[in-house]
Amino acid sequence: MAGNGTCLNESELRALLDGAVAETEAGAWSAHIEACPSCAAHLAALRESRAETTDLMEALLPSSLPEPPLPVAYRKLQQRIARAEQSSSSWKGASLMQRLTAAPRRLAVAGVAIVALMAIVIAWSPVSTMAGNVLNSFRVQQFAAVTVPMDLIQKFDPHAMAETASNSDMNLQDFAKILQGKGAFQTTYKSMPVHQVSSLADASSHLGGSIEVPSNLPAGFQSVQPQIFTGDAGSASYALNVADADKVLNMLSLNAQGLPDPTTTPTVTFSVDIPASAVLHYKSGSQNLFIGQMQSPTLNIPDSVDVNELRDSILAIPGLPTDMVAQIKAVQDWQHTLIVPVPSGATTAEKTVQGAPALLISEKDGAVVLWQKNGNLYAVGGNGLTSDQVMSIAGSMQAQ
Amino acid sequence: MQPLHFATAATTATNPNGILFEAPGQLGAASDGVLVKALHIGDNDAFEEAFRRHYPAVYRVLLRLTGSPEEAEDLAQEVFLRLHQRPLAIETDGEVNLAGWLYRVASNTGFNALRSRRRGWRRALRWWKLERPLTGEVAGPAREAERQEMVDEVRQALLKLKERDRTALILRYSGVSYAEIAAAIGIKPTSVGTTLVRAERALRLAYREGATESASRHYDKTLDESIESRKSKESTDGR
Repeated sequence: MAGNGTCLNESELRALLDGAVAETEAGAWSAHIEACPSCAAHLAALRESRAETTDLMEALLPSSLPEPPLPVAYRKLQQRIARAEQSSSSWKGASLMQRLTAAPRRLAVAGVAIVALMAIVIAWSPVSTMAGNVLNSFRVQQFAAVTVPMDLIQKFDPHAMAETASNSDMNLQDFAKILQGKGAFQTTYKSMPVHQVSSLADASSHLGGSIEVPSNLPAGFQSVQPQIFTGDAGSASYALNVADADKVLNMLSLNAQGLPDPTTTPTVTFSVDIPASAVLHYKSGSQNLFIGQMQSPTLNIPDSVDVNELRDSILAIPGLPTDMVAQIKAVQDWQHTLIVPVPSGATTAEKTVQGAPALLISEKDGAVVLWQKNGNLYAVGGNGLTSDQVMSIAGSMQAQ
Repeated sequence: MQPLHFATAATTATNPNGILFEAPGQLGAASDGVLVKALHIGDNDAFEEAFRRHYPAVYRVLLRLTGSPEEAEDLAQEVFLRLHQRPLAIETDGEVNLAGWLYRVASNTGFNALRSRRRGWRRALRWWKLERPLTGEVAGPAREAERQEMVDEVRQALLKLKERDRTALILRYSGVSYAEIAAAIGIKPTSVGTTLVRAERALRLAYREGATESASRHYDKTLDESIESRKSKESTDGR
């Protein structure tokens, strides 16, 4: 390359300027430049041009440079990896049933994830009984199906939302970020809330009541011992700063009706309680049967919030499919109904299980039925099972 | 409190070698190449060591790109999530440049995020950020807003450059070495200098065009002020 007597090229001069040249070479090159007016001028021009760009590039940095402590960042990453593994098994690819039955343990995790998703959806159609004067306490009393395009389910899946930072559609994520900046979010949920237990008695004591099991199983399942999983209870609360929320909604040209006057009520605290849950998994060849149960989750909203108005505001968020919004709005008695997002392609029917109203969802791969009885929520479903089989299993459920 | 909890759990439960962050374990001396081979067989200790080694630099690149500590952290995690899920290939000659790969992924991830910021939402986000200004020395929200406009113009200008050029720029100004820049964008180390010179020329051009479109004098003034305040801060810092 450039020796003492040879002129330096642009790349070499720039590297010298950046201190990216080995010491011996740097000495030789500098000696040449001192003796060579042409190279010296070239270097000066490059230095000036670099300085101009430096001004632009340096402006990009915020002047305070907080760096998250490594262990904290690493722990968050581990949680995210766990979520990504879970959401890839529960949401990506193939049909609902295939996703549900991908792997037993993941499935149990997915079951809990679905419940968590229910907790989100509940904000759209909470199910209510008035409990005291302070709070509107919403409990699930029945289910309604709303057909949701699959890509939207993925978008609304909180895990998928967290993973789509580089996705082209940033609307929801930005919105979530704004909300995070505007209130205090607290949760007792653990990153891995699902455990396998060895006996029905363990599951019962985890539920704080008696677990129910089917007495009538289809051929092939009759001698199968189920694997038993439990999901931990948890709660989450979000203290919303009303004045800030007003501003955000106004910026999005949305009506902030439903929220109280910020001068008298500066914050409102929403909370969700999700009780302990249990899942039984029966496996026979390629067929899987899942039975899940839990007490109804509760959504608590201060009575300073007009839930009807707030619901309309939320449903007016731009980007929601109009067809889906229409279905949600058409739900009768919405305060008592948990909306279940159902992917297009599945069929739904209203049924009765043990005298309680039930929602049956069927797909070519299988079926699932959901019902509520005495404050408990139940789900029975699986792949390779017909609607009739699922209904018959559900009808045979009884306490241990 | 939380880090302590984490360290204790990791030491006792999953990580008897105690790699962790304070004291690199036996993998601390391993080359990046060894780590990547271990990553391919799902070795968690190797992943942790790779994270310990490279996360801070990846974070700094993304902080400069996005200007937001929260977003930078989020995107940096995405980069390492990708490393966990689909580690880089090992070349047939056994060569591996983990840092270069991470930097390239970080740059692409960051620019993708920038590109998808929509105008209306950017306005909303900016308002949100103004509530918690990132710059200590800026006098008030109005002035911060002006500075932010200028910074946005620089980001838009970067987006107009060729991928190779903008990657070289963002990496160089984040303090990445010539060798790692060369690995990240797939050029010879001896070509990095000239690539930088051309990329910087393109950036200044794109920035001026963008700024001219929307009242250049205003931005230049803001830029000058921003540089002045930075310089005076630097001199008082004794740097």
